[in-house]
Amino acid sequence: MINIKNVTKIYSKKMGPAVDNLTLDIMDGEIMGLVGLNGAGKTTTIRMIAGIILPTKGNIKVDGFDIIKDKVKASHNIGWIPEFPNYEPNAKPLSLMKYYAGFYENNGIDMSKRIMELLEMVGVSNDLDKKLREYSQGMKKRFAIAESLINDPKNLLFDETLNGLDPEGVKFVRNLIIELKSKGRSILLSSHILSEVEALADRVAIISYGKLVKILTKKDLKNLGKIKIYIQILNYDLNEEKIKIILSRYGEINKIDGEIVLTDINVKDDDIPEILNELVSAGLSVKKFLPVGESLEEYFFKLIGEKNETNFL
Amino acid sequence: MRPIFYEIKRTLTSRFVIILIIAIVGLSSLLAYENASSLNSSNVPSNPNVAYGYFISNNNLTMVGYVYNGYGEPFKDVRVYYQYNGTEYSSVSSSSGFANVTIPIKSSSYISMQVNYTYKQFGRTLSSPVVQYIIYGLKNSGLEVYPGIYNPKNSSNLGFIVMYIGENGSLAPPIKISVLGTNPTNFSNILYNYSLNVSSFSVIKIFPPMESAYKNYTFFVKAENIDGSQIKIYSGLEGGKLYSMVPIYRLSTYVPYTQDSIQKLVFSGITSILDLFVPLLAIFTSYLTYGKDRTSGVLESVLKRPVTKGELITTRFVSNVIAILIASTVAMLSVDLIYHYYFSIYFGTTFFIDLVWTYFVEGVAFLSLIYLISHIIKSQGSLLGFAIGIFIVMDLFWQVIPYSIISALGISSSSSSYVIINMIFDYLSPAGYSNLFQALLTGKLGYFGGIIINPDFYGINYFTLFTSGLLWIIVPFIIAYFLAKIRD
Repeated sequence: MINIKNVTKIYSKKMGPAVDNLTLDIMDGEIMGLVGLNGAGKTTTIRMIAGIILPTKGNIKVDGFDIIKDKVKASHNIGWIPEFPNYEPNAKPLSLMKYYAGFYENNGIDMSKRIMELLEMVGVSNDLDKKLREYSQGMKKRFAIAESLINDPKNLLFDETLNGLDPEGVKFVRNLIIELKSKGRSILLSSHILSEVEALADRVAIISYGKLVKILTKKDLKNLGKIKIYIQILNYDLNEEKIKIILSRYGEINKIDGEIVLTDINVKDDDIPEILNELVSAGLSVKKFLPVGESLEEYFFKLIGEKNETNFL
Repeated sequence: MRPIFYEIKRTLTSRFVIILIIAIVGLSSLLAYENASSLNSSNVPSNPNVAYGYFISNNNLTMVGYVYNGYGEPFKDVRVYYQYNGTEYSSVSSSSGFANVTIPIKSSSYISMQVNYTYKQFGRTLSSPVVQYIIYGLKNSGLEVYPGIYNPKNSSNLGFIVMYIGENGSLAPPIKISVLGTNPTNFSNILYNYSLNVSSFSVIKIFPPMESAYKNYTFFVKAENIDGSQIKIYSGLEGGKLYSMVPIYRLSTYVPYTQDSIQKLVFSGITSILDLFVPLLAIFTSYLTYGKDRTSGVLESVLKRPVTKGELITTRFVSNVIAILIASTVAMLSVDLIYHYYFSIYFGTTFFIDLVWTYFVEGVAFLSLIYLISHIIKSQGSLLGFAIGIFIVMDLFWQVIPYSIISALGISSSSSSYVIINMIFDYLSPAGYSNLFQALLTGKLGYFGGIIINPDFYGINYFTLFTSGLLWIIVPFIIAYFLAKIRD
């Protein structure tokens, strides 16, 4: 579990805070998405949680241990996969993994075996003779995943991890995140691929200019913005009048590609099933009834007030 | 693997550190060898010498030639020529040094033999002068003495080879060889007497144990049988004459090295190598293993582990310090062994510790400086530039700066200001630390010949040097340590 409380980070007094009074909790077994524009403070937040940089104000606790005051204990349970992993260029993966392993208590685990398993899992076991400077960015990222999991940490920070990975790598990371969540790990996932965040995250924190703008739950994610209902009814032409009378009471009827799209719905989200009930009670054969909110991306841009996708990473 | 061991291994196996340690140890050893071998009179001549003897059996004369080097040790592959009655005989010396020939003769009453030898040096064939060896009525040469070999251990040139060729080439019976020394002004007084019982040899080298007190004495060798009767010493090269005593060289070059002279020798050469390379090793090792990793972000991959910033900087610092300690200790050990080989004197324990401490401080102080700057400068390129700048200004040209100031201000080299300016600069850079130790141990301050001072008068003593050394090590590192803890 990661608890971020009133954290502010100011790099320079001339500039505004990179992170401004941020409070966020990531629970065990939860995937927290972290989204925001360039410079919103995502990476700064993650680097503070990892203990790389120091918060100007506030505190961060990892499994109850303060990352500043109790760094050693706190870092025992953190795995950080940075956007651009950077290693000692002349080191070889195996010796570097052994070096990293030396920082942890092995608790009876055969570390050599674990290291090999991790390197095999991420797919770099055939390149162990190469120096890390010979690794591509994708390979370094795979190695970063392996070295971050060396002590099986309870909390993981994925910072734009999907960047630079091939499709197979993206799939691997996605499955890995799901597996880690199933093991009860708390995960902070920062990514500019909002569809991935939307698909994986239990909650999504949107930050802008260092401030937390909104936290969306899984339920919120399903119903972002105004809901539209996609409806298909058999023998529509025969029942057109009846259908219009029922649906017009709930919103505006649009017909797109032979499908009814009910917009500007005037009932609460929880009462939407009533519309389906009424259609069925009227003897209509409903083939499709699909309430859909906005995508996270649409919602994000609306919320942040930015339309220029090119600025978004 | 415990992280500290990885750090140490990483530091010590990096190509730069290996090259620099080899350079430091190798160059100081070479310089020590050069100093010692050129100063030491027992510098082994590369030219061989031959000790001659003979025996006659039936109508055959066997000429025995023992080829030896400056230490009296066998010298192989030398061709020795013996010319008798217009016929030339020759033999090449074996690994035992002997090059013998057997020559048929008609009469043994008087034989004149022309002898010389040739040998190869750097691809050239060199030839010794031809000399005459006279056999005059004896069936064998018996005892011959060849002076002028050196003892590598004590600088004495008073060694000599005793060659004994008995009847039919038999070995020496039990005899007593004595070396007598007289004062040059009074030859009748025997002031030095050394005896050695020997037997069963054809060639033996003898180095009488000498002390500098006997410098310029005149020495003679004589031989006696066990019953006390005198043995005449033969000399075929001097016309086949027999002598009661054979003069050997004066003990002219024996100057035993003392701690004082060995210290001056170290500060006159070896320190210039260490003053250049130890800071070079320190500055660039700290840049490569800490500063570069810090500014490039590599350190973050370690910092995310259960380790504090303070522990991480300390671990890397310790691994760098070990490299400095190894370089300075091994270099000093090597120099000490080389000097001991030539001068038979080891560095005193205090002097050895002083030297290692001096270069330990010099290296570690530069390490600390780079660690400190690594926390002030953010970019890798700027840090490298600073590191190079520190090496150039604070080490390479540091000694030039005070002289430029002295010169510009027209300060006399015999004035106190001259000493004080030099001293201030020696305190202002770790590169000056060895100068201060030189002043403490030898009374000589500064480069370019230096000036003789009373170090105590200027406050140069163990306390001030130890304190300034500790400050140089601790202060920059402590600041770096706290900057590491409180800054990103």
